[in-house]
Amino acid sequence: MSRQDANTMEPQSPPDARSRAPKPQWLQAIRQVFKEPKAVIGFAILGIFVIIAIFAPYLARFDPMNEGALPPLTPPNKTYWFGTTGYGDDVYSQWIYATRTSICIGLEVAVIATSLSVILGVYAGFKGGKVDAVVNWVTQVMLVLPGYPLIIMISSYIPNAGSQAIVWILGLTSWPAAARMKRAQAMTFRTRDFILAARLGGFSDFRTVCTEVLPNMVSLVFNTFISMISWGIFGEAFLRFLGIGSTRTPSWGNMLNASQNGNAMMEGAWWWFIPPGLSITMVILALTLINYGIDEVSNPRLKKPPKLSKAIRDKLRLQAAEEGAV
Amino acid sequence: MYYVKKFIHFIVLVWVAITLNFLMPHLMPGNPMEALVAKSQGKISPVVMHALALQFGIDNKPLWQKYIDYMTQLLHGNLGVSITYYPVDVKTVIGQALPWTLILVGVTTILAFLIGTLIGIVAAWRRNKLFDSIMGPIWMFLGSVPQFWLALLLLYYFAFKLGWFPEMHSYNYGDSPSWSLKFLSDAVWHSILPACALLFTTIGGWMLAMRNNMIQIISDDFIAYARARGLRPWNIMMVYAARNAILPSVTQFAIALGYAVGGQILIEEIFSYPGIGYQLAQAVITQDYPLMQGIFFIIAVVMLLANFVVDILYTRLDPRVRTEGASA
Amino acid sequence: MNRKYVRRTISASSAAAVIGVAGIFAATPTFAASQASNANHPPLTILAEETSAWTDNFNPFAVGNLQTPNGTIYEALFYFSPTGPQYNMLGTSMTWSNHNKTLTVTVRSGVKWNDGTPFSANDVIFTYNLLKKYPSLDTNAIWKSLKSVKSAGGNKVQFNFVSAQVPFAQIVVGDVPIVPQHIWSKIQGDPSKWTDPNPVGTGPYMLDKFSAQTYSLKYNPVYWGGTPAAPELIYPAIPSAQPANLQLTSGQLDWADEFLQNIDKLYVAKAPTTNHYYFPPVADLDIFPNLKNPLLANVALRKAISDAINRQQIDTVGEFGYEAPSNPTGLILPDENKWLKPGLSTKFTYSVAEANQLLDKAGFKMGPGGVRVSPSGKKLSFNLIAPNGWTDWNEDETLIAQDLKQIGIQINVQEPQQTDWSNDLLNHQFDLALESGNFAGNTPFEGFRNNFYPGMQSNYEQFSDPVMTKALNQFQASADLATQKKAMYTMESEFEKQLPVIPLVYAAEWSQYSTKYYTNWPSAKNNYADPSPATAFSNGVVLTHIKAVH
Repeated sequence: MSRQDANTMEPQSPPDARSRAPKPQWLQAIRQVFKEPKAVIGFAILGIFVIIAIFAPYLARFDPMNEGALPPLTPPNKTYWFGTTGYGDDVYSQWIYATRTSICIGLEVAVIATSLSVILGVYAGFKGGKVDAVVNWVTQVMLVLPGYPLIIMISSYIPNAGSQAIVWILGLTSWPAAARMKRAQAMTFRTRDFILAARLGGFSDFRTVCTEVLPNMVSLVFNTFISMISWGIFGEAFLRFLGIGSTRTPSWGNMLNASQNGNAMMEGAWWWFIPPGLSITMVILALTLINYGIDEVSNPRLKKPPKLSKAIRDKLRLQAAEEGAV
Repeated sequence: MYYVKKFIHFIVLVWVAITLNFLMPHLMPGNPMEALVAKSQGKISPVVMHALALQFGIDNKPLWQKYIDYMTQLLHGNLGVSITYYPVDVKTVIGQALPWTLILVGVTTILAFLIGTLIGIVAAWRRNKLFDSIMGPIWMFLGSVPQFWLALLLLYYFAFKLGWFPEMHSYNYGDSPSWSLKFLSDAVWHSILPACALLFTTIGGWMLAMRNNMIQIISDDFIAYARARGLRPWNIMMVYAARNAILPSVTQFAIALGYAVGGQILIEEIFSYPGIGYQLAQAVITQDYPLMQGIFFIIAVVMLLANFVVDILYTRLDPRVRTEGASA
Repeated sequence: MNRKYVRRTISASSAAAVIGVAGIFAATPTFAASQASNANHPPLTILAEETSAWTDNFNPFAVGNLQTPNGTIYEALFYFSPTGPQYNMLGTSMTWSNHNKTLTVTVRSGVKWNDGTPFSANDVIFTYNLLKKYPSLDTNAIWKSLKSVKSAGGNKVQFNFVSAQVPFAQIVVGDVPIVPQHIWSKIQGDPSKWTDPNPVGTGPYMLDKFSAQTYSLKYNPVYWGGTPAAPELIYPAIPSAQPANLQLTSGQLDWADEFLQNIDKLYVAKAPTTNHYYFPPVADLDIFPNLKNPLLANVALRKAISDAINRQQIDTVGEFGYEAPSNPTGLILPDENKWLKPGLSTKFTYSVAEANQLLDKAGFKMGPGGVRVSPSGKKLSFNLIAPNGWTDWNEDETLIAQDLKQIGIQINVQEPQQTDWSNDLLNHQFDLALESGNFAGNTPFEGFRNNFYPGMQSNYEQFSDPVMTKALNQFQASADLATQKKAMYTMESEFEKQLPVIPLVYAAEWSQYSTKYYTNWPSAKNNYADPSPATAFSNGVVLTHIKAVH
């Protein structure tokens, strides 16, 4: 069952590992992750953007949305490091603040979607019975609704959709695939010995889930969390690019939307549309690398193949030869 | 018995989807007349509201009555009349757009799956060798590029600046769709840029998925056994390892094909490709309920069908499923 | 993407004008002998409407029909240009009688439908009575004002009005496409639900090839006005602004109505001798104040708001320099110059000091946080709405908020979805709103009536002023130019005194045209018709007036 329930979301998201060690050693696992070069690169790239997001007010050189005070469409120079937009805003300062908005949106979406997928998926999968049936139904129906159009439609409910509205829209619509995955895995725990033991020991379901099930799913949950950050950042860019929501907060999506409206490409103003697009790419790449690194560590079957000892190989070859002879 | 149960399950899900499909637009604020007047920005004066209401058949029937009407119409295969393209019916609008989406998105989905899976197989087989360490980062990077941004870059440089490819549409003016070589080559020519935008960004996902699956399979005993027996590596890779590793990808592929029906909103719009994705976005914005419902209906049914087929396929390929998880 | 969110063409297709004023009659294009698509007469590629796909629908009564068959395939009796001239189309003359309650129109003779069937007054009578029978076709609600349409013998048709509504007659005879009785009488059921796939009209063009991506029209060989210069018109389906702009700037469109920033560099500079644009002012961009709000009902406050706004900045920063500051008369100048009351000021004063004085005098005292408070203790804090994504208006909103902050008025900028904004306007659920008003017409009357006559749908601000109402009534009851001018002068003075809406800049109509193969397009020097290819009926006039270069 678990294979079928593999990540059915957008094909762009990184795949998730399918089976896991029963009890990862926490510290050791983290140490191992940092031994994975891919994960290290990922964390490094992400770290840069997070630092930019945190220190945005100190890094920006101009008011990001100052409505036409600067000379429009100036190529990058000493004053305007990334040039100016067609509306006379400093691209660099806009980009700094946009980084903050987009990273925050990504994180918030991830928190909402991951929590929902854990609460609904794990609990239902573990509990089984009616609860599971209902949740599973809702999940299946949600999975069938076309994602982006649904989001556009919900967005049109909300006038002036600011960042918060977009966060909730994306968060509330993106849990089903992840919940389904978690449910599938949680189901496999139902009959495991240590769960039975916990139950026999009189632990409540909630406690069993928290103390026995979840710790065994840490890497899957973290995986979901990372994927959902990507989803949040992509989703924000998609909606803003379509022109949904307020155009007042600087964000990568809004920058791309503004550059598109301002014919940046026709004007040859590459400095306007390259930074936001490239930033999205880099952050998503970083997240993919991190997920990938975690996978390599947490999934024993992805570890380097064990070299069979010469003795075993010889024995196998002998066996094969015998079989052939029969 | 198992199949019957699955089928009933499928039918009920379809009903739920249709009902939701009916409800959602009706929960939206505003109505299509106001949307049309607002959209026209002064071209259509509010005076026309009365005539519009008559044309669009907007009435104040209770919701349940509308629901019954909707279901009856649907049973007769009638999806209603589009408001944006009034008085053309929804079936015609979808019928015009769907083939283009199926060809563009469908073919690129298949191609991305094939190419990605193949690269994944080889990468896993030659794990941490040169091929793997080049292909991995390249496709991971491309997979991280926002699709619409890549599409814009391609459009700008290869169509607008260099003029190598057409800027829009799915075939040249003056041609009419036919099976002639001229038309087909023209259509392929028009689809190259959008197809590239779709391919480049989606191959990575398939590759990584396949690579992971392969590596897991490769570490299985029977591969070690096959190796030990001295079978040809290519043979082991394709016949023993890949055939087993591809299973999870196949199910995802079926679902991806289902999604393909929904089209690609931004790609279609950027390349003015006359597909279903753009129609859907347009329908949502202009509050063209009938068109929106029609497209949602098609997507939902195809998606459910894809899921259903995957379920059945799985039971055939992996009989363990039948006994294990019949609850889903 | 952006187009459906960026405000585009403002067109005055429904704005009406007065009959009996203008007297320039349509020049009949010279009959050019057989023209095929050749090097000197290539097809014209036109972008009038953005759509992802065309549908096989040429029904001229379908509201929002993207194919705009009106003007090219179907014609009305007359065309009243918002720039002044009146053109005789299927009608050749009209006379008022019965205290301006009866209009008699003489119908053109010798006209044939493009299927070869002769056209007659019966087709006209049939069309109008079809609208009476099927109100879904009556998109201009003409039967609210009409009593009957019947034959007055021979080629004459008589329109009987319920009351004297001289300007409205322009809509009645100018905005209704005449359809052939021999085809439309055979339609089963409601004709508004018919898609008219093979349109039979009297216009200069007829349907040639149709596909969802492109459709084309070819010239009508039996057209009464002779053969138009361009033998073929091509309409590609372009879904949004970005591809449209690419097409336009790479020279693949000959006539378009695109909004394009930096047009001199991006479009004109590509081919300075042939690429041209004409952005005539066709309306005002106004702040509509909700006059039922007791604070905004105070004219001193409205005047102060007007004085404090830097209109030049709205033009250059918000509107890319395309929309010049408007004037305080409610007229759209220079096109409506002949209606301007002598001695009236046509310039707004921009003075923050004066605005502050006005507010001080009216008793609005500066309160905490730099926000003024009314004598009854209410803060001068208002919401200002404009549709989300109409980026230029959203920019304007911010500028206005900045300007008004200086005089102690707090503006909360809001960007509801387009539909919600239009709902708020229609239901008067707003404090201040950006919207176009005072659409230019053949006369300024219709613009004034729509915005300032009590009970009109576009009277969003709910202005009800006996002087204005009386003047509007006088105007529409008369077909006499002097009487009309007098009434108009009263309206202008009243507008200036009351400022029921606050004009900011002129709303422009976008049009680009290429003179590579065809000339004599409407331009600032030669504004014989509405220049936009999307404006119904005027497009036909333009297409029969352009001339081949060679």
